[in-house]
Amino acid sequence: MKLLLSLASASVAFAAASSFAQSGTVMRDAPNPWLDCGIGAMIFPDDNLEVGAGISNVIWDLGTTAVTSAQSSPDTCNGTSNVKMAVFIERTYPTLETEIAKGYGDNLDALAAMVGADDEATFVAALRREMAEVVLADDADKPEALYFAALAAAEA
Amino acid sequence: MLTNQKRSILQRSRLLKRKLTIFIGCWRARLRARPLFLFPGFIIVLLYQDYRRLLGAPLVVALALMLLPWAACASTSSALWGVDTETLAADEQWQILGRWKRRMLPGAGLRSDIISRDFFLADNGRFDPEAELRATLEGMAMPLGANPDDSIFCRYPGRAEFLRQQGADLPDPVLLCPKLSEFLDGGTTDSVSVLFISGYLSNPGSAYGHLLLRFHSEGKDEPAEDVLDRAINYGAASSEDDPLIPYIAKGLFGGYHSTYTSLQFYHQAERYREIELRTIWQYRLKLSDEEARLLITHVYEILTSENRYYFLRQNCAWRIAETLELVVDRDLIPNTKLWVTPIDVFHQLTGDAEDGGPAVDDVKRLASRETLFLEGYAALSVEEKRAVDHSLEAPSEPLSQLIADAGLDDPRAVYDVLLDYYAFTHGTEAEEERQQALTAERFKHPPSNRPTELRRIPPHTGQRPSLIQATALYNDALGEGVEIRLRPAYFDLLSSTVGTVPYSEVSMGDTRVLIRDGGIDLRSLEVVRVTSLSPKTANAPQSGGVAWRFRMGAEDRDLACDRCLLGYAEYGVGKAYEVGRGTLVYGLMNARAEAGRHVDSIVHVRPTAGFLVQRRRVAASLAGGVLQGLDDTDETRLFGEAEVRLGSGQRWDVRLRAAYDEALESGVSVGLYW
Repeated sequence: MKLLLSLASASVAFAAASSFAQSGTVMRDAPNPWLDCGIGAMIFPDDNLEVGAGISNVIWDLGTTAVTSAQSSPDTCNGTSNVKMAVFIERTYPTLETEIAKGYGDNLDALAAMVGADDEATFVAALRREMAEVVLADDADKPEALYFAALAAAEA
Repeated sequence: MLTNQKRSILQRSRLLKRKLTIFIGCWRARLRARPLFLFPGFIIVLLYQDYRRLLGAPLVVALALMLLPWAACASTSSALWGVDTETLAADEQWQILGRWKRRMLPGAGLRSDIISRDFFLADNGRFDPEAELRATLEGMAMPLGANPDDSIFCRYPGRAEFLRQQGADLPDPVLLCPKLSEFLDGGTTDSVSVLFISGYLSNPGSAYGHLLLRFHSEGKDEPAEDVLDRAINYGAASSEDDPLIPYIAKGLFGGYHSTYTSLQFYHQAERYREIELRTIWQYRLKLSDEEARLLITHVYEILTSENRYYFLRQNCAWRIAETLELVVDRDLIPNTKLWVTPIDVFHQLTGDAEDGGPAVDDVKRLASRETLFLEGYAALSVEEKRAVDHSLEAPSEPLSQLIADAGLDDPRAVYDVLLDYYAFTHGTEAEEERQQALTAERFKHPPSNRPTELRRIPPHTGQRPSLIQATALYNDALGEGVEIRLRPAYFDLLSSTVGTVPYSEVSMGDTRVLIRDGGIDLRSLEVVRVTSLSPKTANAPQSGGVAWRFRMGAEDRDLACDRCLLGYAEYGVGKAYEVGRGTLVYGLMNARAEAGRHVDSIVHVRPTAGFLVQRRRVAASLAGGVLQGLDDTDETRLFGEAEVRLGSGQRWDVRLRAAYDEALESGVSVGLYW
């Protein structure tokens, strides 16, 4: 089972890396929570979070301890400051995508706050530019692309 | 931001101050209680006179300093801070903190509902609030140690906060306990909402709705309310894996343990608003800073505690309500019922006041994605609606072409409504492709302005959920009588509830007895009835799912026969159409099984057609059909029923009813809701 999970994580990581290379999104020097912290291997039940209540308080709530469910090194992940944001994006991506397309929404507000955007309107405009092509990509890679798009948009 | 070193120094200085405070507190309290505590000090002074040359003054002074606080504080800690433990242990807030309740049996004393052994500090703490208080006081006087989070002070910040508010000179636990500080978002969490999640008919355990707590933080860089807020849930653990019957049995009789979970609100919003399509009503509580802090720190300390889960009473509504009673000075659990449903708590909280009453600061609706779509569509112009309809009917046609055909200069409203539609439908591959193209197209146009949320009628203003009804009736075969009906919960197709699923009904334990000719007979006992008509409506393209109804119980064979009870289970599917605002026609094909000595045929079909009008002040239904036995084909009966509800009071209504099933019966009912 562990072997399978490891292979799955590695596949996700490889797919993610390939995707960024293809889409041209800048990888930057920032650590990648999907690769470093195993967020891609996290399981988010669609309809009942309390199924995982025992682990939810550890993983989903704190975010920064996401490595407890990952296959990667905690040391590597501890260097990642935005794991909380990555978990948030992974969990709410479809809603976030809808809100970014419309240009407003509660999740979008939270993303702007998490990424430290000075002006939300500027951030949203920049994020929409960054995401215009990403939405046409394969589903599996979109949350990761949004993560880096948000980091880039915050600097706009 | 403080560096770790500065924070460590700050914590150590606070710890030192706290130890000093405790020392002085102990000393003063002991002096007031028993002045003889100084006796060991006198002995030391005498020894000092005799042996000062041998021991030396510094050693004796040091001994005295060590022994004096020991003498002051080594016995029972009841004297700490001058606390009268007996009085304080009887305080209502303390008893809520430990969930102690008086047992039903005379003389049985108190017992906590919390079953986790390690939650209590005293050996007999589950049964003795005073012993638990003394153990808490002793624990609070202990040093925090190398890992403060493991100390009693940090494990029970709600108790510490309670004691502080009682006058104990304790430091602020948020300053000394790192995990608690994180839980309170660095100490910025300062207000609390209680959320009502509307019912979910696909799960019998969720049909009555649900409750959550939400903690808000108003940090410097954060809005007063965001999806990163902490949400507290209470529910049965490990209940999802059981089949339906064991699930119900365990739920009714305490077979599940239950506990609290803490997640950021967006997890719950995703689940309820986006996936289960349930609207959330948020009641922000009017609390002082001290009340909010006490409530939040208490929730922190009970997060790992376990209770037994009982579906009817000690359920999510009960546990959240009793937690709120720590700071809300109202009975939030109705004491007139043997059961409690989530909406009961909101009726109690608000006292049915339209503005929410003195305990509520604000009521806000967080609409489900489906509701956003329906309301967005309703707000479109005729041309825009036509464009949406066309897009859904012809998903392969280019969107830009549709917009051009509709003659729209600005397509954003149309696209936004379509985005909402595709966000909640789980469609085909073609629909997913359409959604992707739509999203890409939407990015080519500027952002929309956030719509202003209109004030909506909140659910606590609707009819209360429990009904007792008296009906004066006349039956052309059996004569006059009086029917008494008790329905513990929740609503039927004619009810004027608010916040429930439109055109649906959920009822449990609906019991009717008939008084006729001096005798009393059980007429029917419907264990459960759930109906979801889910109509196709002109105001929502592609709307309308399968209409269905399930009910089971026991009832008289027909209206021409008293004392003719038979058991039944019935399930039907069909279709419903909304033909006007609040007006509906529907048809259901029911399969019905019967059992008992009054049964002719065991298996039946029971096609039914109905017409329904729902308004706030008046509602009416008309339904009829035929019952056809399958294993005894001679059993064929026509049946029909008409009912009108007059009035929309939260606590009453009047109904007129006429029914035919082998006999014609009519009646007038007065219903009281509580």
